[in-house]
Amino acid sequence: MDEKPPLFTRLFALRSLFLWGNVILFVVFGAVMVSDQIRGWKGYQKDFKARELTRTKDAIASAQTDDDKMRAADEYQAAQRIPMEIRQIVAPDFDAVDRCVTCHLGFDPLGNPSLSTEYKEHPFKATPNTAAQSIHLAHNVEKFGCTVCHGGQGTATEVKAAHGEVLHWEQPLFKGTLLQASCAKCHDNLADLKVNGAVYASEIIRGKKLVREHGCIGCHQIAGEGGPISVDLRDETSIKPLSRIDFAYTGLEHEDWTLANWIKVHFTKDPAQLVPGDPRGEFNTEPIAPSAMPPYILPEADADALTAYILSLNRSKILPQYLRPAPAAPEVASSNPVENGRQVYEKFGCAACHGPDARGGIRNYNYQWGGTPNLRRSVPTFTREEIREKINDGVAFVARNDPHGPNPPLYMPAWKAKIKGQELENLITYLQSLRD
Amino acid sequence: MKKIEKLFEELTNTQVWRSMFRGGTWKNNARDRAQHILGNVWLHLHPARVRPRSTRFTYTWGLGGLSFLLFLVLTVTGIVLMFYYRPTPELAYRDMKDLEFVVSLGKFMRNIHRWAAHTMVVFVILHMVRVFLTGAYKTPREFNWGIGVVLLVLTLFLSFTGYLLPWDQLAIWAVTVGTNMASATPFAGAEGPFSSLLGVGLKNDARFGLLGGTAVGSATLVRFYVLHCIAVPFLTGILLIVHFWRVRKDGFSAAPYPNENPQQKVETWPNLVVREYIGAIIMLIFLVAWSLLQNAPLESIADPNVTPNPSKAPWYFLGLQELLVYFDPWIAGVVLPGVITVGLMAIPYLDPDPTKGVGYYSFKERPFANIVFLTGVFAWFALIVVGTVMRGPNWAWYWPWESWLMHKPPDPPTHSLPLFLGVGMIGIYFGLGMVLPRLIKAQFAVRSAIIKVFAGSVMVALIVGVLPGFSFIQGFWVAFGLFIYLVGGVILPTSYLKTISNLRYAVCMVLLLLFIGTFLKVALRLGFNVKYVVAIPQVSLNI
Repeated sequence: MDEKPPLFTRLFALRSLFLWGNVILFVVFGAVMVSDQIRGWKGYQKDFKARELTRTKDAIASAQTDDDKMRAADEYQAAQRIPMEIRQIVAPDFDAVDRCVTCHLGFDPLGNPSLSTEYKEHPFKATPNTAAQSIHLAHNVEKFGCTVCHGGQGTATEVKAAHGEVLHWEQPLFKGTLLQASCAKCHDNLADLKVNGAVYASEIIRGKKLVREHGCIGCHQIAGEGGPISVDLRDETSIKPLSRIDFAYTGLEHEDWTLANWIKVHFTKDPAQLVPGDPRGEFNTEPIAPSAMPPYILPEADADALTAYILSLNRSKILPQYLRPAPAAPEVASSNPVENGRQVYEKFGCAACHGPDARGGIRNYNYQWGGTPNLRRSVPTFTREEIREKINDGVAFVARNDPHGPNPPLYMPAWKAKIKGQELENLITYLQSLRD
Repeated sequence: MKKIEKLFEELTNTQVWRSMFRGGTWKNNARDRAQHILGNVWLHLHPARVRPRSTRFTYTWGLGGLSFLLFLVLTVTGIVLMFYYRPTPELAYRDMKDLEFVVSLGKFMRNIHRWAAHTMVVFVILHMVRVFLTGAYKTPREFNWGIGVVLLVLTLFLSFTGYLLPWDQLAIWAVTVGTNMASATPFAGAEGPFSSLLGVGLKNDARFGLLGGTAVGSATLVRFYVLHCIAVPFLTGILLIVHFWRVRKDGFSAAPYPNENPQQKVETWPNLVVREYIGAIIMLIFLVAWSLLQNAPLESIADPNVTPNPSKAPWYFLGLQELLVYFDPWIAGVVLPGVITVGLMAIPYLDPDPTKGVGYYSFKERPFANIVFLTGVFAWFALIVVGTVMRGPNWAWYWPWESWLMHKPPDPPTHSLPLFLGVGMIGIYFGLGMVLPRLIKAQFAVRSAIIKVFAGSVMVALIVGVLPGFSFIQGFWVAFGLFIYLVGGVILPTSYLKTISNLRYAVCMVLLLLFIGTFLKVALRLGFNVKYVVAIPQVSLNI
């Protein structure tokens, strides 16, 4: 009597391995072909075509005159001819191949020269308001592409990847206020750029003002202008690669690890916690003080404005013919020596360390006397000559509280290359005019 | 069914079919099946008949054939990818993005090329292990074993040159780490020992030749592209032909057992061919499914100014990179891989008994060879695992469950031994180590000797541990060094290298002592923070 061999033996008999091996290989390769054919952008294109057909059909139905009917019929035929394809804008001047228009079909400059559609939702809507429309018309999409202003990954054709919200793509879409940073990449004449009578990139201008008010350049330089205590906001911060940022103490989710967020948390959290250094020398041969940046804890809008301004300093990849330089706004120097001294005090960012009212008290880790000196008290104890010397040569080494601790991060830099002549004299006069 | 068979018969008898496949009408007899193997250019790499044992899957595991299959998969997918790839820094990375986002099947081709490359490295190594374990490298196959070792090196080089082509951060930094080793070559590398004597500097050393510059750049990309797509595959193809030819000519390695009738054979078609086909199918299913489920990595575009921390070499070199913790680059990156390659090729020529254990897995007949070889393979992969999984920023030790965001204190400071002590130690180690196994005349049982040495080492560990100024960890490393030296450098060679000639004995012992010495240096570094045993900065010689 024939007995059936056990299942295992039957399954692993050469014949069945041969058969099932071929079948499974065929199936998995089929799966590859199918998954290659199913692409997110095709769904959007189908959807768009269907909407266009419905819209034009309705237009034919509701047309009053023969002319309207003819026009609507033409549009209907055009909608029928919309092909299923990847669309792209090649913008060699900006080193961009932008496939955004594959899904954002309302921005197809050939099919839609007005760049305006009736659709209210992305990806089909174009020109959310008239302001955007006038900006788009001023920057020919076919020449500029999309990503040079909006960020994101132009070559990608999948939503998350295209919006740059994936690992290993450092420039996600600019959203909200941050988008204004793109204007400043080329335009120095921000104040003249008006849409409907209002300055468009107003937050960048406000950010710049906030930088001056807080005296950021007392410690930070911007393109070499400013104090040497911390990094250059244009040459280092605005182009900082993510791999050089330690997000460990930011409390940000991994997907929010972007340069914009890194800059922003400096204004909304205590920088000493974001960059705690190594004050006890556990991880380095020398102890390192935490960040000396004061905890400003600004409101959200101010933080956004400052972040947008700092990001706008990034001038990489812009060809010179696109730059729109403007003369720097003329400085209004007061003729009153004391008032002009106060202006100098603000201009060079003295307030960052000595306080807006020169009362000092800004924290300085491991500094022997605690906070920074109160100039209203210390200045009167020096002669004019001594004060000039201190501003000229600085105080490079400040006394440590704990001799084994790190160097206090804040010190008085030598300003003689930057503050000189009448400005220096007026600054001294201003400082000497202060009393507690 | 009958109809289909009839149709097939008619088809095979047409003039067109007959002109393509040699042989007369297919009658499915032994002669036909043999003719099918002999008359086909691809299949005639097989003999017409093979021993039944070589058709058994667990004898070869199909590893050699699958390695070749992977080579073919890589060739085909590589050719497809070449249509879409331009080897310049401006375009290479963009072409990767195009493959991913717009080219039909582009992502799949890239994935399968990547995963097949990794798999090929693994399979070629496993193939070598299998050949070793079945003694298939022994006379008359010594030369083919050597060709195989060269093919393994070429496989690694193929994979390594391909690593650069996507031009992302992963690519340039892995290649930077890898090629920096070349600058540590003795005499020929700018930072290697003795190179200063020859006037070798950054701009004329081995690394410069490899990179076409002093850093990874556009010249390197073209160089690696040509190497990856033309030069190395060409060389590999030629050696593969030799390799297959010799497999065939040297006789398949499943030699007859002593009491087996050497004439007892089965037909290759279909017995072997169908098994090879099934192996290939399973491998292809595995590769296609893997490529469907996981994408090949692609990081940000290459930026020579932004060094990732840590920068890691491709995984198969991470064992060597891990050894950089314990050795100067010229040893970890040049001498050790060189010695490993030469040592592997020397194995068949050092064999004390070329007739023992040929054609089957035998631990008992070849304990010495098996222990040393498997220890080496295990150490190689253990170091790779450490380098891949356990090393984080600043090459600090991170367990897989630890976040890399956590900061780690630096290693304790290291020191080098005084010159006379270091030179003395190395002199005694090699001088005594070379002659000791030949001086010992006593006969002893290997197993009980090893147990005694193990017990003794445990005692030593405990004694050192309680000594003032020492810790139990140091005791462990002392015992570890003692144990592997006494077992690998004394007991085993005393027992198993008795019969071979003096020259073979000397080569064997040099290789063995270098092998054991690698572990001893690791123990010195981890237990006693010794950076260099010998350091002569004048000629950059650090051991």
